[in-house]
Amino acid sequence: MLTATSRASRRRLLQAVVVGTLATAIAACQGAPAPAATAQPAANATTAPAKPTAAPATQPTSAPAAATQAPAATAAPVSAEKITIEAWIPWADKPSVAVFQQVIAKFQTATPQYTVHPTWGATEDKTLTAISGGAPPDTFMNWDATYVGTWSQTGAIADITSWMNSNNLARKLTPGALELGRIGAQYFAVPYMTDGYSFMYNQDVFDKAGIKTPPKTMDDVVALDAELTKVDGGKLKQVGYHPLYNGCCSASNLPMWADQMGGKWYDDANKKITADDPGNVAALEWEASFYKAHGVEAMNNFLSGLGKEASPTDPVAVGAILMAIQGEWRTGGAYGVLAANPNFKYGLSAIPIAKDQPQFHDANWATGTAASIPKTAKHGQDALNFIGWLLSLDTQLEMVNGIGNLSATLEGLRAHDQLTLAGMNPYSAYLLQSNEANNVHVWPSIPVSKQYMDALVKAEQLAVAGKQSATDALKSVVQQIQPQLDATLKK
Amino acid sequence: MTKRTRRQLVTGLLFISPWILGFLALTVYPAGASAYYSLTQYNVLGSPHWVGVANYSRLFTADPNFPLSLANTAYLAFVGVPLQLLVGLVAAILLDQKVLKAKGVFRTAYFLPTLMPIVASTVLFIWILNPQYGIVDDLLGLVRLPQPGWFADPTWAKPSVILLSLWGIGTTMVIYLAGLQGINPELYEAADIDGAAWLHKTLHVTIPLVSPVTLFNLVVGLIGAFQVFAPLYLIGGNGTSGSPEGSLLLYALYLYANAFQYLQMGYASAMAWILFVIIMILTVLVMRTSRWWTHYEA
Repeated sequence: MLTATSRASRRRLLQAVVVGTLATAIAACQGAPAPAATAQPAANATTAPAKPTAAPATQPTSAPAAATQAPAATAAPVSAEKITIEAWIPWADKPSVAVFQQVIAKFQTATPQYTVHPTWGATEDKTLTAISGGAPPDTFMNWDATYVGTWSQTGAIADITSWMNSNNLARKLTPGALELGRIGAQYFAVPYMTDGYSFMYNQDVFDKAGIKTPPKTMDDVVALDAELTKVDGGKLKQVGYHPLYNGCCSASNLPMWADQMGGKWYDDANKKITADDPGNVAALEWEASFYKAHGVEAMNNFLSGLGKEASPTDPVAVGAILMAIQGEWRTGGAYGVLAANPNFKYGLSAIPIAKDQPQFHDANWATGTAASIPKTAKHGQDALNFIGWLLSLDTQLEMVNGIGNLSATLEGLRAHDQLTLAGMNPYSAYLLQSNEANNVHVWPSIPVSKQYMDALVKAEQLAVAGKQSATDALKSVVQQIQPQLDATLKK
Repeated sequence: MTKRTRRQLVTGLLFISPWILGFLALTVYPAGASAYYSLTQYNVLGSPHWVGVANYSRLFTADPNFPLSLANTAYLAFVGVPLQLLVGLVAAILLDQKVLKAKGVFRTAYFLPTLMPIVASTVLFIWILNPQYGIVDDLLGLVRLPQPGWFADPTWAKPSVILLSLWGIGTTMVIYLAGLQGINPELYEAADIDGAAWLHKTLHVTIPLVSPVTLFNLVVGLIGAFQVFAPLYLIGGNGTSGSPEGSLLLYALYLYANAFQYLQMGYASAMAWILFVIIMILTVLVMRTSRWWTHYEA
């Protein structure tokens, strides 16, 4: 039998349990803590590399390269009070962070109303979580712009067209850079640095073989590959060109070669996936010829044994691969061939063209480190002023020379003689040439762009291995992606 | 129900209420939400848009990656899990031998790989199985045996993953070891008196009596095999593309890609529910058939 005292104790215990439970429940309902935007900047972070962007190119750009007007200037803050701009920045390696810190310091000096609070090492996943959780930064930057197609459609990022127009950015940015953030007639992202691509070859090996000039056509690449590839003990030890090697990224090289054959990947007017375009098929068949020449197993084994870029086993720097399409970061920056092998002697040339289609010469692709404003950002307009600062010529040159990517502005590209990192000058000049020829392409900014690229990577592997014809492989990409696009656009 | 019983019930419920709340908020609600999202087009950033069974319909009729990922996963489950059980049991029997000296050392050595982070062990296997410079192919070459491409070869990629999984059979082995030590020694003595050889004792005493352990390991192994993610994410090299040639596109990998890379959370939710149903059916099948092959000592 319970005594009065024990009943009272028990009642108190029960009350305590109830209170504790409710407190737990209330705590659980408080929502997630504030996102990493409030964290201290990781000035000593060394994890995420100053990477280039990944997705390759295709859609021809339209805006002509023209003006050389003053850079996008910062405007007065939207409100008079001191404003802290939360900026999520993907760079986290020491040199890049140091460059950004200098840029931020100068911006704050020039516009004392603002304090920029950076969070380094931002990734797409983290940003997605922050936006969907209702606690977005004022601006975020990403290493590639493939998010734009999906995120703009969901309403997650703001339409910045009016800001772009008021700053005349359509004439200041390169046509290629502009395409990365454009959806129809609207802009949802501003690339503040871009990548450009050239054909890199091993100068030492070329000299020893008595090869005087780099390959000018895709046929030349095939011929040189046959001449320079070495087999030892049944294994490939040195390859002239490997179609599936592209360095850092998961993206495919195929769109770049398809550009040389007039290939198209998306019909914007009719909203159609055009992976099976004859130009694309021809480019894939050309890639498959390398596998036919050296054997599928040998080529796949060789590919799996390649080291990481900028490491002591960097395939280009150690002479395992003698010719490759490479971005500008592969020259004198932290991720360049010289970082892997300071004695490496490389040559650069324009990307070889298809012999019978010289009209596509100077085709290049643009990828870029893009910045966007979450639609629910607290200080989105103010953050745009910070982004505008990044696009000024001085800042562009500071970032290009410090980080090792190319300027997103025409003015910045034209100032290529002021670039200090090895190899950046020719890259900048070549990308400028491609932009002025209005021949820079980007991967389609559509809501299914990522699965489109994944499907293409798989199709490319199947086709070069001879498991499917190039036509069938690319048709299967259309069959897989078009229904997804239709469903997304229907909504 | 008497007043006292009711009071005791309330008291009990109050005591477990923190767990109940956690279960409702962190399991029941997400599962319910996932079921709802599976019937919508939902991209995480916007609002879900009702599409009925369109996601399920697309999975079964218009997505070549769905059957591919399912087949790849089924291969790992139906080939890999039985092999894990076999190797785990054999290792346990060997480590349970009375004549074995330094048992503790051997048991620790066999269990040690289980303690290694999956990322580290996967990277290690990527290196040793590399067809260009890996030690395994070098050794095979020395004795003039074929040198497979392992993870680089679509034919060998899945067997290579199974090989990797066999390296971590420590947990299975330890559970088997516990089961072996629970077998009544009198049964072996009786078998000895009957003149049974080692093989007969293994087949007719050991294996039947550890069958409950086999049942547990089989169910847990199957559930785990359908959810493998981390090693394949690393081995594929291209994130979620399942390289080479989609041979390593596993179900969990494709589900992740749809949810967090393609932002098709509704579609991914439909995949998750199909996975749940598959695992449920397999578990029920195993449990139902276990009465024919599981023996419990009276």
